[in-house]
Amino acid sequence: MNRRAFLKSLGTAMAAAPVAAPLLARDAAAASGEQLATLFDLSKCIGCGACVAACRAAHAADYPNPQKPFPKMYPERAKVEDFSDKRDVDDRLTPYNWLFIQTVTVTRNGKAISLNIPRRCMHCVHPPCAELCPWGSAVRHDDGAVAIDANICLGGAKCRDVCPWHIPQRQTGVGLYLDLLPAFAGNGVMYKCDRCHGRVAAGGKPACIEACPNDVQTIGPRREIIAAAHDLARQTGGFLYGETENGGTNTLYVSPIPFEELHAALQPSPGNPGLQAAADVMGKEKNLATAVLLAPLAGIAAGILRVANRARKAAKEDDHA
Amino acid sequence: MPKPLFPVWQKRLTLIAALGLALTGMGQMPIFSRYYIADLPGLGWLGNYQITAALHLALGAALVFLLTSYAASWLAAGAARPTLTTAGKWRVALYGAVALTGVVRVLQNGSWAMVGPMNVRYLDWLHLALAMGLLVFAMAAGRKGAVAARR
Repeated sequence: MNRRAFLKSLGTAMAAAPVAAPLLARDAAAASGEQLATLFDLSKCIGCGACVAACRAAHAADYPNPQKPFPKMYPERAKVEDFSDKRDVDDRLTPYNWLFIQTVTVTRNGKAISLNIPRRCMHCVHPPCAELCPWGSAVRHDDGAVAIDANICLGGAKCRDVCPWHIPQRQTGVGLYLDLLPAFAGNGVMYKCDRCHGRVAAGGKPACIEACPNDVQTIGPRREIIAAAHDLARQTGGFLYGETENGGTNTLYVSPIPFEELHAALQPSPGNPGLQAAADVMGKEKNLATAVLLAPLAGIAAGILRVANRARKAAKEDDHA
Repeated sequence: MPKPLFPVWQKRLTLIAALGLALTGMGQMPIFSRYYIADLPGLGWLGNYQITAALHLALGAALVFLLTSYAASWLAAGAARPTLTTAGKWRVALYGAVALTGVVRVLQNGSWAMVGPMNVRYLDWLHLALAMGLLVFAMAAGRKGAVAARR
């Protein structure tokens, strides 16, 4: 087998990748109903903050307690991110506030309408934070909750960079990096909502759901929650967010106002995520991932073809001799 | 005289893929931006996780293809099969283990997760440690032949 034929077989394998993609259906786990999802009926939220208070109480023991002064970090580009003196901030996401309420006012048909939107991690079906974390500290549990293990996170903030909503928040001066090379690698620990994974695993509900006086949020198997979200949107003439954003999330919002209008009014900023039409981050790599899985088949075929060609050539040379 | 079972151009492709994988693999950690390397002209892409992750997968597909073709040729060669040197055996073990852990990680991100969520870290650390081991091996014995010369 010559170089051209060899590379051709590699090219064929790469070209076959999209065809084989269904073999690796990325949503199989989500479709199986094992994952839990939550549905927010935004028309019910009065912005009372009971969910925020319940979240803070439930996770008080999980919040960071950094020691100061922080280690000097090199180079200077590595900046300290410190919310330890601003633990009471509750109008954005911080390492001490994993859920907050955005209040948006939009004008529709000449009338000003205000809407309260509880915001926290969307718990994506294919979370880029977990799938691209190089250290294995961000994980997606089988029930669909996405969590960051504070015991091993190094605070590199890649999870925040790749998250379409930039949800995780960093606290410097805590975590494993202090025991490794605090001056040269790492920068603390990333924190975000884990959808009360421990409480749910023990048969309970997330604290925010239990505390809500208006039943804004419900939790259940993803398939049922999606069906309920569509029913609610149909009955109320509402709009849906979260079913397809970033390839699908386990957090669905139904709003009486289109999300494009809400996003335009939000003015996203650090810790204050938008409601944009988020593209599927991990879906972009689906075909390449499939090519990796098909490469062994193409490689084996190429290797065998090479040996067969050599044998054929050797036999031909023997005939001529 | 028959052409060698493992031609030079295939070995060069393997080296290029391995070097590219090492670079893009390092790029999965937030170091190129922190250490200003991505600020150098022409290297800005090293600070973009979307690009380095896509390149890592593409080069991974190429490397797995090359490695499995080596293995298939070697197994199918029968009596003409070359003998692996000690360096060759190390190379097979290290490349094979790096590729295997990489493929398992790709499956993990798809719908064939083989590792529990709290054990993914061990898979990542093993992949990283094996890559570092391959780097050490390459520096120490990278120029030694993988197959013994035929007598």
